[in-house]
Amino acid sequence: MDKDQFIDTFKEEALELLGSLESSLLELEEQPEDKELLSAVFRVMHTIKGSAAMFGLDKISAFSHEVESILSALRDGKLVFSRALIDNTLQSRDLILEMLGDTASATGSLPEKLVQFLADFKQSVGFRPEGSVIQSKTPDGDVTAGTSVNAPPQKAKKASETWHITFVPGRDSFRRGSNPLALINEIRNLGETVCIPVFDRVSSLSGFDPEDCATSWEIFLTTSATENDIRDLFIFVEDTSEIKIECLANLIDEHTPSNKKLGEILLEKGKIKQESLDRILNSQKRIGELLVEEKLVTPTDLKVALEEQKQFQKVQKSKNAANDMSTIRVKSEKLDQLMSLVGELVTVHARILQTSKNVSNNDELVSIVEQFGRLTDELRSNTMSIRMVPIGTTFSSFKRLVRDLSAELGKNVELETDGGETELDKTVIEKLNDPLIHIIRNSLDHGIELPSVREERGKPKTGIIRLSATQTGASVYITIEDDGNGLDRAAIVRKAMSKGLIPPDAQLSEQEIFSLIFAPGFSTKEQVSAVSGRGVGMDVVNRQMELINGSIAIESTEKQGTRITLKIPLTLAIIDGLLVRISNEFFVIPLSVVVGCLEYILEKQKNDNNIVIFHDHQLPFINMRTFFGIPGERLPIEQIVVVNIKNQQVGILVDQVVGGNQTVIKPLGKLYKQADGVSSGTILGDGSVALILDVEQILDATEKEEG
Amino acid sequence: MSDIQSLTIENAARAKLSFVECLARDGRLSINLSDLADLDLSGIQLLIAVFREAEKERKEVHLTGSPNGLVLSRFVAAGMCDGSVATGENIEQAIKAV
Repeated sequence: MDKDQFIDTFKEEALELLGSLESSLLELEEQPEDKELLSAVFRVMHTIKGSAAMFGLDKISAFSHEVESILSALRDGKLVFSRALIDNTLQSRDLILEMLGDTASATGSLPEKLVQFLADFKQSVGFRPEGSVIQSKTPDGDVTAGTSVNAPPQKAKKASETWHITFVPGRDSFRRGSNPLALINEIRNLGETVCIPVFDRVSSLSGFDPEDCATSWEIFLTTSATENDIRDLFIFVEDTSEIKIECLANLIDEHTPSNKKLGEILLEKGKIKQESLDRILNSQKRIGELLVEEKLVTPTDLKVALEEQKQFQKVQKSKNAANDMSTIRVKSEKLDQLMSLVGELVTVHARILQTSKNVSNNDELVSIVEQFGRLTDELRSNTMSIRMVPIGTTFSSFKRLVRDLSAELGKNVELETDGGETELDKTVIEKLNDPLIHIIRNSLDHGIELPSVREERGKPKTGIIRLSATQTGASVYITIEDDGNGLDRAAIVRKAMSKGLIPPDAQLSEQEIFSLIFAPGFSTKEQVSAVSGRGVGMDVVNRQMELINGSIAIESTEKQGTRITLKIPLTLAIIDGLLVRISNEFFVIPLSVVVGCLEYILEKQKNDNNIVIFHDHQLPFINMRTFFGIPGERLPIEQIVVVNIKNQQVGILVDQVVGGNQTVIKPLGKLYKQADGVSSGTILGDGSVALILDVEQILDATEKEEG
Repeated sequence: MSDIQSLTIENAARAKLSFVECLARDGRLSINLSDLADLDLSGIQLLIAVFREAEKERKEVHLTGSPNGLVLSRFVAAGMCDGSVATGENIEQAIKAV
């Protein structure tokens, strides 16, 4: 490998690291007390500095070193956390990204621009070089000299496991001469601690006995010390106290998810009953507040459970990070090749299966083909999973966009994400990035109102943009929803008429009006700003969606908000399908939408209203022979495949259900783009082509036809 | 409570009597943390008990002033605050929250 290749590898790694740095910084802004997050941010800067120096990229190395020094001061408690610190570190990240784009010029000393940036950065966060006094913040916000009372000791840096310790000293502890507070301090010396005192046993003032020890603690300790090290601290009090030490990592396994709900934790601890929990969960307020309000749990119980929940999530995150370490880098072209070969293999298997059935009754051959099928199936799933990446990473990259833009526009906006675990092919995700950026920018600029306007409309000052993803059948739906202005139909129509996009007397449906915003150069905004108004963004969305055979749907209510749904077909994937036949034509229905099948005997039907009874309910069905205009006589006994689309069940009437089919999706190309009811095609074992049905489109087209 | 300089196990009983008297007489009690030279767990428990009593009897108790480093370190050790909280008012809030 020559130096350029090494630098390319470094760049790839650095880009990944900078991606994680951004999300860690944004998380840190929300949880400044999270030492793990701070350490993660520090580690990224440290790694970039070291690697850049190794490849002679002096500018990057020197710059990262300076930023690392500031982060180090923050980590050591010598600096106070501030928004300026996050802002500047984010800008530093962007500057490193910029330098990475031109590694040829990344040697030599730092240019004046970067030197000045670093000087401003240091000044804005109050950073002084080594030797300056430790600072701490008074409740008034003043920075004063002093020592952080609770600063984590050096030993905590090697922290590897989190322990939950319950310490209930005996009532006579004081009389026996032991000092629980000293013991708690010793525990703190082992690492990073969260210590929650429980004063439930403290009696009323009249019955108060100064010699009675009535305090206990719930402690969360993150340390590299062993269980024995921890137990040793209790050696003199273990006979008279109740001590429980549990390693949180051991409590997390496949049966105990880390994202335990607060109610589950309190239920497990026996603090509440199932009936009370069920009742509380049915109301709309936050569960913790309600439980305390109704005196079902004490505020301390709630505090302990919340801390346990937080610590569990932290441990799981470290576990995941450790698992992520065992990865290798593979060029995505190689995965494309592998996927294509697996697709061919699936097709070949189908052909062998068909041929083996046709030529003989050789049991051994059938057994071998079946085994080959199982292996192909496994290979297919594995290859698929390699290419599929969760969309959550893309979602979290928008947090920065929303944070910066909302500040620029003077708006309060929160980005909520859901369904980040939904997986999509890597190349599709890459193509989705730009459309999503444009839609979010539009939501921020046009959608979400200024805080004063929101207040006038009786909305919370903070607007919400919600990004969510779900998979249904062979499609993934990505929804971008805001609670802002909504689309102004009249303004859209006015603008479209003035631009000559529609005739002055045009009568348009709601969807037709909304789709005008995707026209090139269309913008209802009078003023062009840095954010939007040029009418380029939504046009890009439309073009990109066309490229990946996706579609866009818009729902909007004026002054209430807009929801844009992107439907993305899994064009590169292989799906499990149900092969059906109508006359001599074969079709595949994605198995994930199939609920069941039933027989349809024509002569038993009393009328031809296309409704049958399925599971004691009326089930409307669509005759596919009519839908596609396939000639030929209907069979006396047909079959209905029951599918679930948009939370409603519909029947698909076909001649015959052939059976399961591993379907390698082949795009149909532009020629068939307008073909209603089919999303793509596949090649069957005998070499013939079967079309893959787009059940949702079939339903929509039928509904439209029926008015 | 100017006569009580330390809220420790040795004089917690005396402090308790003083608090009870003050609450009964004035219906309110103000404890200046700046006056405290030392504090231990027994003293912290006494403060908890005083606040609970006041809440039950609908009387007022307030913590004022700023504790010295030693007293603050005891509150920190007990898990009542994180060290950056340094006024009586903040510690009062922490006690009321438990």
